Amino acid sequence: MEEGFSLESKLRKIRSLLEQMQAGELDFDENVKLFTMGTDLIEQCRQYLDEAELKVKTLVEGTSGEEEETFE
Amino acid sequence: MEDQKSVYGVREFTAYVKHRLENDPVLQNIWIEGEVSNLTNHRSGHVYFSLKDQDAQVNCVMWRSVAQSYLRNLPKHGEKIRLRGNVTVYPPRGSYQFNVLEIKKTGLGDLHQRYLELKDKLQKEGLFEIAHKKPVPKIPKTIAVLTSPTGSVIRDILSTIERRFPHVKILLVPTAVQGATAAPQIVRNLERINSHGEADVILLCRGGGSLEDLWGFNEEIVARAIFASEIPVISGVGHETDTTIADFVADIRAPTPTAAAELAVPIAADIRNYLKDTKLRMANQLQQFINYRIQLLDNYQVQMKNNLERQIERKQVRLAEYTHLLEGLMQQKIDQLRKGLGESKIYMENTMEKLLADRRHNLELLEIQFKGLDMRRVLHRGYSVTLRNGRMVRDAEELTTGEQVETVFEKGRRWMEVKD
Repeated sequence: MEEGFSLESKLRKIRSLLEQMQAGELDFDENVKLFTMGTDLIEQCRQYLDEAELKVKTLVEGTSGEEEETFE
Repeated sequence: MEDQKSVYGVREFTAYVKHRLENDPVLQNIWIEGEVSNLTNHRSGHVYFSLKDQDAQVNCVMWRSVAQSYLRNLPKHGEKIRLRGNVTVYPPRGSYQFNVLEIKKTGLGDLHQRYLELKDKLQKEGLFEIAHKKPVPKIPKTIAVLTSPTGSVIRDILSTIERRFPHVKILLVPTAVQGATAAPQIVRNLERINSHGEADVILLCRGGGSLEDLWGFNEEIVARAIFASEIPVISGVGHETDTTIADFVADIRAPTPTAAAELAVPIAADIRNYLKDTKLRMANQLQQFINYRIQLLDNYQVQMKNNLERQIERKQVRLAEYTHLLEGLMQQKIDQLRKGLGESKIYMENTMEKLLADRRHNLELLEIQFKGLDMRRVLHRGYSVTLRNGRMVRDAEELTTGEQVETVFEKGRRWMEVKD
């Protein structure tokens, strides 16, 4: 996982981009730029969460493995 | 040497003593007073105990027939009572005993009285309050065990700890737990353990015994030392029914020394299970967090997409409007141009026709003229034509003397030289 990646700050950034878009005061090019940035950020966050999820799975599977050992 | 007449057999001697004691009016049907100690309610229904004060004690027996009427209200250990009965002798043991006929309770025993007074005093001072109870570490690293170094208590404690949680370090602090030295030793050792500072929990233990035996644990100095201990104290004194002042002040009171050891250390397997559970719970928690975040991202993405799409739609509508407008304008222009073109065409056609007619007419004229100028007819009639540099010479003045000119006849050509 990316070092120093801050999910929450990225989410805040996405939220602020969205709010700017929703305010409707930007011209179209700016909007497209914000959309591109937002989509990019969303993708980054997704990837981050996917990796986190994988880690959780690994952890849980590791735990159930231990359990089997204990009962052996 | 003994006088032969004064030598008795044991039986005879004992019989005599028995006779004397049991027939002494002073020793029959009398009242005696003292504290009850070591009371045994025998299965047979007979009750045995001692009646004692600070200096002496008397063995007492209460036959079942008498004990029956006191079954629900048997004297308790340490209780001060008054007994009516007879002195009897029990020849097989050569002992005398007090045969109890009646019991009168005169109030609590001295020791018990002191116990109650101290308990009341310390309670009023707040020494027993839950607010003062220090938390006992769930997983201690070092346990100080303060008890007698010999006997079953220390063995039980050690085996219990070993069985449950062998990872812990045990500091054995041999301490007298009975007699006059018990209280000062307990106090001193509690202080030592505290200043040593390694232990993170203290077990203060002793096996069962009479109120006198356990008295060290009812001393005020012990209570105050436990209260002052920075390190949490678990007490396990006597049996389940014995509650000493030390038990009240201790941070945790265990009913027995073994129970104290159980309270001091967790079961290693429990910890492993707990850790495993915790890991799973944490993983679930994290998974849930991730799920929420993914949902949030999905939301954002949809919102952003919708937002942009709406904007694109609006732009497209605008574009379509513009296009429509432009098309209209263009069509107008084209129509205009086309109309103009049509007019021009007609004009041009007319012009061209006129021009062509003109040209045709000219051509005809030229043709006529040309025919009139036909050179061969002239030459045939006997004229000739003079050419200078390929051009007809019409004026003699054009020519200079000695110049070469070409003369064309009806038949053939000749070069001539100009003379004056």
